[in-house]
Amino acid sequence: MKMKTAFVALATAALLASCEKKETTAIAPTTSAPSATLSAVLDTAPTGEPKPIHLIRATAKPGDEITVSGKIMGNAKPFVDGRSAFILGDPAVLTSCNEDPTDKCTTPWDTCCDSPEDKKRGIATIQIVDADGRVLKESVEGIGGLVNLANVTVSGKVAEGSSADSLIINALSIRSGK
Amino acid sequence: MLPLSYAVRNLFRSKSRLLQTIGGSAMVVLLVMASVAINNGMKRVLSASGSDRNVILVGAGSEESIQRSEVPERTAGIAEAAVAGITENLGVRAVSSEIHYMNYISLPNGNRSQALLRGVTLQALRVHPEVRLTAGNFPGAGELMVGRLAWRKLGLAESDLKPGGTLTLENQSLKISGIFAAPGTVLESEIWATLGDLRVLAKRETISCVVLRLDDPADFAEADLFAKQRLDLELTALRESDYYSRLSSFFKPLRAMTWITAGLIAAGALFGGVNTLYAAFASRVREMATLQSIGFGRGALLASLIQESTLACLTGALLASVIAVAFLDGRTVPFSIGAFTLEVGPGVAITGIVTGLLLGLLGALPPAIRCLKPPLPTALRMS
Repeated sequence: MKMKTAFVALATAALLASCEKKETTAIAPTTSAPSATLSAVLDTAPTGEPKPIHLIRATAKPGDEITVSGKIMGNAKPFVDGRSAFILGDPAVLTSCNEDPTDKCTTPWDTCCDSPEDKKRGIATIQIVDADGRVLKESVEGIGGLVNLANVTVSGKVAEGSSADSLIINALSIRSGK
Repeated sequence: MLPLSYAVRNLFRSKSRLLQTIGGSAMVVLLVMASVAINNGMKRVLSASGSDRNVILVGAGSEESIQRSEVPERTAGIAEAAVAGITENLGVRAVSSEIHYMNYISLPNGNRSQALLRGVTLQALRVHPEVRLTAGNFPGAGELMVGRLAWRKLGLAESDLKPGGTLTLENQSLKISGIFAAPGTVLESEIWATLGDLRVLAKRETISCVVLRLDDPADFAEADLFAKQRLDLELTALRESDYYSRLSSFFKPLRAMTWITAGLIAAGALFGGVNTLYAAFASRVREMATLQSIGFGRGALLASLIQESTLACLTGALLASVIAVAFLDGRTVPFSIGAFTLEVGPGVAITGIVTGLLLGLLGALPPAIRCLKPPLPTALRMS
């Protein structure tokens, strides 16, 4: 009888455990300390009035110093693993799925409900480069509050090769949560 | 303990029951072995099909299906110049533009069958080094090269797909120029045409994907960075191995179905066997009681009854193993994206033996316990 009760209790516990809601936001742990270049960018406060990405992209030319703000979103994986780069989305154009309480999307940062055209005009690539202009070979996910859906303000220079269709910013300062 | 010969002799008391037990257990063991071989074969072919050194650049939003993906034609040239770490041989970088296209083709026997076609250039051989021409030539315009297992996927005889033969796609007759092998991968079930031909026949203005081969799998970050820098191209970088792992997960329900089917039949056979043994052992209650009265313990009698059942089931397992080696091993099984070969290896054989043992043990225990349960005086008076 005791065995039967214990079995029923175990089965109930297993059933309840399987019903537990899964955590949707996964932050990749960063094991090593950020490099001096990356720390300098994260420790510096952005300057100037931030502009929306969809407005500034049409006029920004390589070498221009600009400040943009937005949310880390616009891609199923906004961060590049092993490189200091991520996708910044314009909240005026894109809507992350978590803003709709009825949406149960497990990756709300992919803005899957927005059209490809809106995604194209509402996102920019933010990267941190070394003195030679190469993107740093270290992840930024989870450092300085840089996580999926974080509000971020970035000041930096428009990168060589950037265009109105593909805005790339070499960040000089990044602040999250503003 | 009762000698083993007692159990062996008892097996032959009812030949029809013995044949029934051996046949039933052979069927169950064969089904379990087939399920394991199918599961292993499908998993093996999908995991071998994707290399962690290959990166597939697909259109954003088409990560689940390359066939739906649309990538601008110029992507290959841009990626070749921009992505660091691409394998280079004799000054040529391993970058392949491909069209993946599924459609019906008309076969030599007049039937139509769904085929997976891949439009390629010679560059495909740089990113898929496992591909080897076994007969004929790489296709030129108006030609096709068929994988050595394509006949199975198309439901033809192997001799129907030989160099020089023709297949018809979109009312266009295409000559088979050669046969290729790519051991253990789904590529062997594909049909390759030139990129130009397939672009026209599939009425596409874009390609499906660009495949890059890297020197070091860790350089995937470079390809991912490229995809996120060139937002205008609307790309997603996928490791080829991850793509096929995802496909493997997609086929999980199919693999589960084989287990469920085998499980249901095994359960039915087990209950049938238990029922047969209940009847068989019920008629031996007095015999068991007599053995107890001359000094054999209940444990020894239980062991002897289990020996009987296990011997019969293991004979069934042996029969099933012979059938599996003769008829399953090496057989090609088609599925939606290719075909895989069944292998009856040590893992499959051990699973069969363990199944036979369990059938013998679990099938005999309840009837044997019931047979030995009555008190000795009652049992001796039972008819």
